[in-house]
Amino acid sequence: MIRLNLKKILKSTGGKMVLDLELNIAKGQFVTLFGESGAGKTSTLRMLSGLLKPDIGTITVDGITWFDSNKNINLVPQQRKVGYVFQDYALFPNMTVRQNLEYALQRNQDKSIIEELLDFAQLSELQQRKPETLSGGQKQRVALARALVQRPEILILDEPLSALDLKMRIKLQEYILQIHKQFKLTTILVSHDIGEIVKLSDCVFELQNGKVIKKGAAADFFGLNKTSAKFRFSGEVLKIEREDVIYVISVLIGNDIIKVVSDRTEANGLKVGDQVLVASKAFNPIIQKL
Amino acid sequence: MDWQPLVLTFKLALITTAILFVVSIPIAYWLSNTKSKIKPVIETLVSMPLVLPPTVLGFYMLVAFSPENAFGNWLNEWLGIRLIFSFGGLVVASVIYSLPFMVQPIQAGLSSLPSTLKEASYTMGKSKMTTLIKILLPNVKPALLTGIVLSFAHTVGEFGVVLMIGGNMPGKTKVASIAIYDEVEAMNYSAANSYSLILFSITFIILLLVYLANGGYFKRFVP
Amino acid sequence: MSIVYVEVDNQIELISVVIDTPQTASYLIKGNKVNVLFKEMEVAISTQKELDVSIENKIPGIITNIEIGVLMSRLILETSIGEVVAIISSLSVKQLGLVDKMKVKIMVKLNEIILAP
Repeated sequence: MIRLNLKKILKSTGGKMVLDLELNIAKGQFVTLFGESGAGKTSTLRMLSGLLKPDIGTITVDGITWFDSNKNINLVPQQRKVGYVFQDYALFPNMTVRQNLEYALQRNQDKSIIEELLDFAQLSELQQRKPETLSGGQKQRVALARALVQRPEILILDEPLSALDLKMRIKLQEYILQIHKQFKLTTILVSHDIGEIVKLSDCVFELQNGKVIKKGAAADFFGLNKTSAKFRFSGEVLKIEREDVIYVISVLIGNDIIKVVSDRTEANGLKVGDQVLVASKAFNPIIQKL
Repeated sequence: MDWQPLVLTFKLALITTAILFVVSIPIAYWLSNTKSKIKPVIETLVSMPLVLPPTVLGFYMLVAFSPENAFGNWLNEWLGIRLIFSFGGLVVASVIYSLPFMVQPIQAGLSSLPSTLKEASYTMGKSKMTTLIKILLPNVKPALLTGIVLSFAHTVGEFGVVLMIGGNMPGKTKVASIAIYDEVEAMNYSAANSYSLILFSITFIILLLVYLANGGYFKRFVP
Repeated sequence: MSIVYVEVDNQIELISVVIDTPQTASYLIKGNKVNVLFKEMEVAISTQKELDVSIENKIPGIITNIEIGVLMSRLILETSIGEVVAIISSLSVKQLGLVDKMKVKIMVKLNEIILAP
């Protein structure tokens, strides 16, 4: 169980913001922090991992105090040992893939985990390559594997897939889910992609201006359970075209672009890039064997 | 031709560069990391030799190291070190004089590294020292090389500070740049030319090799 | 599967069919409030008062606005369940002779009605 109760004044280009959070995360959960950029998501991750010091508050993990401003307790990141996957991957450019993983080994740790992880992440063939020669998806797999070397109990993923194309994103989502289950991790993700969040997480916290404004189970959170419609998907608006008296809205769902006809009352409320729910009754779609 | 001034010049440059390398890494590391209020003051002090006439620096060091003064006297009495008009004094003066040429490239190199590199290392349980040696320094190799070459070349070429604090003692403080001046004063142009040509060639070759080795990378770290 | 009767404004009854049953969906309880959604394109319009047709939901209304496009037309109707937008072909508008202020019936098949708890 992770309990965070933190206050921190953050100064950024946009001015001052007070981060004031209370988060409780059960062991083994997959939790997503969701919200606009600058809402304090990354700062929260950094405070949990010890890279940023809160002004006041407490952090306890499984009953052990990691931070307590009253008792002057503040474990350094080296003692907290969370698996942290950075947005820019933070692979060490001077080391090969294998050396990157080996660097993360702890004193006296059994080296067999390196082979195991290289295998698991399908990196064995790339192990002698330097990071600069890898594609984005490969780098991300190295970063994930490297974060797991020290066998952390907590895995932090800061927008891990945002720089990747859709196909790679979907593949790595599966991979992250597999890691989460296999290594029995408590995983905390920052993501903007609603499909990704619903697919991966048990629980979502929405942050706005440094505060949790909403939380809930992932599917309920985005209102996906809010209609009786069974044929439903979440996606992103790609295009809105007017045709005659109606509007045709193109929506990206997974790998596919679908088109939905809409009246102007809905179309006027939409813009390109919006996350939307597309739903229909289970009675309408036709189904054919391919 | 007397080879002694040339030998002395390169000996001085080598020792100075070696000392600077060791001294500058912690300073550059501190400067690239700190949010301390005194950072600008330290940065200014480190950079002073860039803008100050060498004679000013030489003059103050001469005064400070002189046994007539408290500090120089203390050095002399307690440690038996006389820094003025000695090779040791030259080394100390050169280290101070060339400090920015080593510190600035390394600092720039370290600052240009994404902070996530060291943060990733910390979350893996690695100490700051391990992180510096195994992650940060290996990734600023071009900056380190730049620092070494610039300090070396700068020490080879220094004149004012050496003249002020070391004087012109053959075999002890008479380095090539002073020897050239000496020969010119004595209207001995061919000897001056020999020294100059050798200095010119050697520095040219060193710099050329570095540019070739580093490619365009080198230029980024020149202050 | 269930057939659900929804009372709107204490008078009109709308009928919907859903895959859920009271066992699988907790909102399917008598007296529970739900929102009713249906697509503008699924609304049919009739000018006749009584019509033998297998469309379960029939609601009287008055046309308050007609926008005629090349192929499709958009009608706004005032009904006892509120304002309803219907999108039908311009061909039908012509055939039925639909004009502003006309009294008509709107019709929606029961499988087109989505319930939102």
